Amino acid sequence: MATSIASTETKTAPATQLGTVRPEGLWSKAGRRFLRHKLAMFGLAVMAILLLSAIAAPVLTPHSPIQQDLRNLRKPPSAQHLLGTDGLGRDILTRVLYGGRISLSVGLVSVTIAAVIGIIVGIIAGYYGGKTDMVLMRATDMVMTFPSLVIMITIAAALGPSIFNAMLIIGFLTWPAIARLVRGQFLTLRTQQFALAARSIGVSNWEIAFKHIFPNTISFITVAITFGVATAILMEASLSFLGLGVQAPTPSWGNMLRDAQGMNILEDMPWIWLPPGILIALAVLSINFIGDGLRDALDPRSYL
Amino acid sequence: MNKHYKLIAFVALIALFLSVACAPAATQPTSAPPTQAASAAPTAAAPTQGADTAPTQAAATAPADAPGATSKGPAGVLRLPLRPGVTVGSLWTAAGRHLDEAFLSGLAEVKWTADGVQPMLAKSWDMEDGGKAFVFHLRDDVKWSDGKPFTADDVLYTLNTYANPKVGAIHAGKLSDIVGYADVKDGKTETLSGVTKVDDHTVRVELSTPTPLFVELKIPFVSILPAHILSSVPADKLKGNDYWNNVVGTGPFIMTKMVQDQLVEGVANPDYFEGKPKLDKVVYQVYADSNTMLAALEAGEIDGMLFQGGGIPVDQVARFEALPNLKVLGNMDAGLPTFMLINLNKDYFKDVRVRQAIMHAIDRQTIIDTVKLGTGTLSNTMFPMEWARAQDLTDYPYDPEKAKALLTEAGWDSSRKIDLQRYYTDQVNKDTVDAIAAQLQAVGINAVVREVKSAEFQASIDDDSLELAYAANGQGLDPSLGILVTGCGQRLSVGYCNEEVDKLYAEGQSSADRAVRAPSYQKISKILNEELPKGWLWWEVRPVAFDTRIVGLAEHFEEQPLLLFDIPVYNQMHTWYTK
Amino acid sequence: MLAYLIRRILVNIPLLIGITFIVFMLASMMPGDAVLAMISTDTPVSDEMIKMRRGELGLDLPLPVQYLRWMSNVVRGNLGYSFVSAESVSQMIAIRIPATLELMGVSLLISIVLGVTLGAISALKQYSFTDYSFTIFGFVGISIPDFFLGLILVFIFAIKLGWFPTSGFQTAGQEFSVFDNLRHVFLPALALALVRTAVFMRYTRSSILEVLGNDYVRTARAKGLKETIVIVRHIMRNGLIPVITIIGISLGVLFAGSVIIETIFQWPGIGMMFINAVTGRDSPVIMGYVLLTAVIVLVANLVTDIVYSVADPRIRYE
Repeated sequence: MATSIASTETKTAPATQLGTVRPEGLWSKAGRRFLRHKLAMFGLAVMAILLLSAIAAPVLTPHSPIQQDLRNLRKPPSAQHLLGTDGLGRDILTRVLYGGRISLSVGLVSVTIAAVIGIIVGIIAGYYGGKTDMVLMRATDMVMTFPSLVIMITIAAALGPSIFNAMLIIGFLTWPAIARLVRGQFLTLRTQQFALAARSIGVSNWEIAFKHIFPNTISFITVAITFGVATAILMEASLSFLGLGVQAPTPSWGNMLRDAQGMNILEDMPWIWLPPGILIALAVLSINFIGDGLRDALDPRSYL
Repeated sequence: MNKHYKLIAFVALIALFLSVACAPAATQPTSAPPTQAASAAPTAAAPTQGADTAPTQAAATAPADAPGATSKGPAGVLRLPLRPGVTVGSLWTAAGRHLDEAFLSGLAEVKWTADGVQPMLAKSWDMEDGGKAFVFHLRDDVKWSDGKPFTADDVLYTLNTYANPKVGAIHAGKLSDIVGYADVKDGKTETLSGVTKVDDHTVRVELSTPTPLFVELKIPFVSILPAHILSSVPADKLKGNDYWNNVVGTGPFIMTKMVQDQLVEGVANPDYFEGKPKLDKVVYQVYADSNTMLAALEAGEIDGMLFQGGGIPVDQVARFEALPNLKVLGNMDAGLPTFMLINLNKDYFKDVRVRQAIMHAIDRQTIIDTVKLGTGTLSNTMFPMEWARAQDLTDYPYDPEKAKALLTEAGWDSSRKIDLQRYYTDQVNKDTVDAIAAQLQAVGINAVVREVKSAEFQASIDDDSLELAYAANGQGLDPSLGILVTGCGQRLSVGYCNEEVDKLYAEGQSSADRAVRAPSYQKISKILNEELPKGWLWWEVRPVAFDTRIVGLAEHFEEQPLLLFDIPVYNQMHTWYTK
Repeated sequence: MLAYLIRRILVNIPLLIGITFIVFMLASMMPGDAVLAMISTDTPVSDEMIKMRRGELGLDLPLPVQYLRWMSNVVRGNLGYSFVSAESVSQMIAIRIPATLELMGVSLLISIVLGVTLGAISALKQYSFTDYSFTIFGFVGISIPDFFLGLILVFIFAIKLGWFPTSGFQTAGQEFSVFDNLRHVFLPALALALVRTAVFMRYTRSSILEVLGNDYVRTARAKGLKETIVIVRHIMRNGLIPVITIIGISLGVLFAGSVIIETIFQWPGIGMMFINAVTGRDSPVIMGYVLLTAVIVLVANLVTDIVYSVADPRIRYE
């Protein structure tokens, strides 16, 4: 299982880079740095194209992603089928476009799930500390300790394969990284001047947590989430490879790639696997570039 | 410099993919070249192909430089693939027979020509009272691989062990006709009262109902085990016993090494009763993934692809035919009726018009012609063997309008979501089921495909949640096996019960003479054709391939009229040798 | 330090109980059981036999009872017996774990050597063409699903070029030799390694960049020390400390990755054993595997923390 760089890097990051309350104008400075980050801009452009073409799929192609044409199967690219057809005569271009909807939304939805759980757990643990923190962090450790693919396989086998289960499983397995990050930030920030000041003037705990401390953690969360999307897309592909992901006939990049396992297809029919293969790699690559750019832009260490 | 890396990122990525996509263009044909080359000498074969193929393929048909083209197998060694789990022992897994072929023997085994049985440990047998009892005369010149003589005690021990419920043998049911089986099954005793030792080399088996084909249809499933080693092992401790890692047997090879889920090795048994094998060594390599198995075959790491693992997928036959060291039997009849398994316990499937609609909705011929690359034979009933089929079967041609009309008549609710299970994972079967689902949807049967593991499929039969499944059932040996799919109360009958069919199955077994048996099965075939307990699709073809460096292996399978699934077949393994 | 260690170990116990309980429940939720999984659908089998086999395995006890039974056996050092083969699970693991450790070890070695070298070069030549190309190479590595990377490696290096065998642990029918075995481990290890290389590379790069800015590096250079000595003695030594952390974190990921890679390459390790167990609904084996990987990952985390504190005197545990 490929994990993105940052999901591991961020785990240890708080130890050395805590404690900077950002000066005014952080976001505009960060924004300028981000815009200067060429790889990130490349990633952003590619992602924009991928997202737009997934959304506009029905407009971009006259075919249906599930319409079969048995008399025209495994045909190489032609004027009628720009990227050829698959084992059931379905238009590959149409399938990668619609598959993008599935793969990207698996990425986005599962990361949203992970972010929501992670942020809530992180805030509660980080803000209250003590026993609450202890219990929540052990739970986090527990989920982190699961070899994620192992547990994914077991859960998918238990719940049955479907796109929603794929989203849920990926989401529920990836929140600990975000939770730890948020908690780490909170532990540091809650003793900072501005939080203490707010408390001294009688601002409620929740208000301090959300209005004052939380905004300071957003930059870290953004980076983690970005990398999370890349991880989720790869996880979907792995699940699909094992037959536990998105089910046919719905296309996803992962299950389209799974259709290319035979050496005959790998060698003689590249039009079947190249498009989903390139798109997965391109999407993950772009997201990692964006994440890298965001980190450089938002990470205080990059002042060095 | 900054401008460059966008470009490099993209180029690097594309290059990686293209290097894979393009490399092949120079070496492999897309469609099937002539296959004769395979029987020629491997070293000289490659160039001979190019001459008579179409110009478009000429450049592509010289795989001489491809490493897979020449076999690299060591002399005197046979290397065959196995699926994981087989190493448990043949008592508990049907596919265990693949190992037994090398390491154990039966009293009698099915001939590779599938026309009767070959006397093995029993040199002959007498049938009494039209099949009420059998007397087996055992060979007296057979030694176990540890040097101890083989005797009647081994046969008694083996039959008792197979029947013992504490052992949980997968073929226990094959002995259900033996007198005393019920008592053993109920745990009253551990000894079959119908099996008696007449003398050291004679065993008498008494049956509760006359079964003239007892030796042909039941005995081959039993591999004789050594009593002198195992009789001291309690029945419930037999599984997992170290014996299975060091099998002492009577087969052509002696097991020398067993690493679970990895490999099994054996050396020639110099005392094999059919003669010392010409091969020195046999190695079974275990593969969990059939694509890995195929890659290994292509690279010349194994000497054959049997139906263990599904054989060669039909869409890859051309690829393997292009390898000069391989003999591909691309059109091997698998004796495998393939059908839509329909749960007749569900009210909405009870109306025969619904099942007729399923038949008319599926464009079987087109699927065979396209997705299945022309392999398989359209079927309207079950039995794969022609003599067991009636002549006047109703055909169900592709007719979506008729299907719609039938559904309307039957009051079908097209909003009902129907779960269609598929447990095959290879590309052709995946595509086939997706095509069927789309065609069913087109007439208003809202079938949604779901990939399941075997366990899940079986569980859906148990809890009756099964609706539709794409299934197949090996019946190459004899039509009598069909009762397990269409008999009353049988697991795979899922709700189908016609007492007349059961009666006809019983009649079919009352004689050993095919002419006497045929009418019963033909009547069954007609009933199954009319009542459609399953949606009959086709009889499958399962291509297999063998390295021609092993002389005898491909030759035997060429003579085999159909593949016998997980049934012990006598293949004269001791006569095979490497070139 | 000792108190800290004991506390860390104690904390892990409820963690392990939690993990195993959840996995146990999940494993029992999987549709079908071990008996049903053993039936081949191509070969007809009677209902009677299925009942016989169920009784044999005793799959009828209530779940919590089954779990407690399992747990009490585990405490006594017995991981139970496989439903499929009746082998002892601890023995199954013992037989297979060397293969998995070999695969992980070689792959870790490849990714560290590759990652640290490329990362160090990148850092020393920051913002150069080399830096960018290495960065991109690393990112491409993590952007391809590992199963597909494996497939492509087999296709190129085993089928087309014939440099390496397609799969397996050793050549069938030959005596075991280390060289033959290393030829077999290379492709799966590479597939597993390429995915991790980028992590090591990026980490090394940023960590060395940080060190480069430090006074002692400038001092060393000012002293007129040879550049190679500066790089090896001062930059690498200090720059690589954080990389140790990743090795620990990598273990969990490597275990997960080895599940798919072992299956594709027929590498006879515990990852393949686990996949077969999931398909075969062999819950004692599933549980044994999960317990083992969880323990290893927890221990690895602990060791990482300790090594880190030894390597970096600034870190102290109370």
